[in-house]
Amino acid sequence: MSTLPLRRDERVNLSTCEVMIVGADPEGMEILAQMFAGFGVHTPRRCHNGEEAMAVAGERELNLVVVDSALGDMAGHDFISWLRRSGVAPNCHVPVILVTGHTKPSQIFKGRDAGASFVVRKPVPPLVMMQRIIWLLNDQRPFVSSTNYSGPDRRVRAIGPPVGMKGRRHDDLSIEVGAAKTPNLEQDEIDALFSPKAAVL
Amino acid sequence: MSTARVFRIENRLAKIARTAGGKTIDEAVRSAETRVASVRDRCVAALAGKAEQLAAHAQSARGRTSGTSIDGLYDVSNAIFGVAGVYGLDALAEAACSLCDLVDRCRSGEDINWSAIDVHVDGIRLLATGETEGSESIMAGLRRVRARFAPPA
Repeated sequence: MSTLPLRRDERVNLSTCEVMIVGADPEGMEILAQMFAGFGVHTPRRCHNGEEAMAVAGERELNLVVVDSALGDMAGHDFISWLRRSGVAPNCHVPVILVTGHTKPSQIFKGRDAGASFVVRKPVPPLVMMQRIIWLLNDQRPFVSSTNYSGPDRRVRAIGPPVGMKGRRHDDLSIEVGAAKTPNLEQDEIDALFSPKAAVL
Repeated sequence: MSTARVFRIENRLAKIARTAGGKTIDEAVRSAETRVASVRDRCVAALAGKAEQLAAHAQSARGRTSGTSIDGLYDVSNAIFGVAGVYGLDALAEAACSLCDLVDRCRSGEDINWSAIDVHVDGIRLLATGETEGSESIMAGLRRVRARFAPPA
């Protein structure tokens, strides 16, 4: 992820934001709840296991979900996968941050493939959490729903479909370049494109 | 190949966060840091209890061979890592992360090495009580154990 340059004087108003924090560890939850209260969230909703979180997701309209990787009754990525496929709108499209402790690449992939908007490694200082929230505020990724995946587009950069595969999207470019339709530019025409010119404003 | 439906959704989080009022990012981060620090004593005090839970999980999982029997050990160790890391208890966080590594290897199908796990649990119990004088030697021992039983891939 590219680090978003934070403008520290920029204002964020999270006072009416419905945030659900899910995790099995009471102290880990307390730390996150205090952090979000400090950010200005009025009452972060705490859920101590996946089942409780599923019930809340069915009742309240959420704006942000923060999920620990260990929920006691299920893994964090399993809850995210359930949420994305639950059909409970608009919560199935809500931004989800997965917080992991001991972080192996395979866990990152599981979180990403379950539909997490972001995976953040512990320990998470408030500045890092705020950076991720600001990133989510600017997140322009479309949502993808298919047989095997539901969640924000995992292609953060537009680099086209994997090599050797035909893209599945209408805006994926063909890997066949095709013949040129106009003559090549002459070198002096190319140079002219780079020449500085005086502009009248 | 399955068909993917791609669509735009409204960023409701951004819509709410950009309403008038609220805090500057600087104020929000400082306020959060203060509030997280305000629960430090309570959270750090709970670490000793978690370390005892580790020992209990290790005791009850011993003798059972399935990967799921040591899930509790992993989860508690992971929780210790999270809390210790936030409050700068680096040795404890490293020890807990090392135990997670060991247990995770067992969950992935490797044989459970109880000696290595026991050494880690004992080290974590000592570090979680606030033992700092011998923390370097505890960590040196744990690093040797980890290098022997769970070398980096």
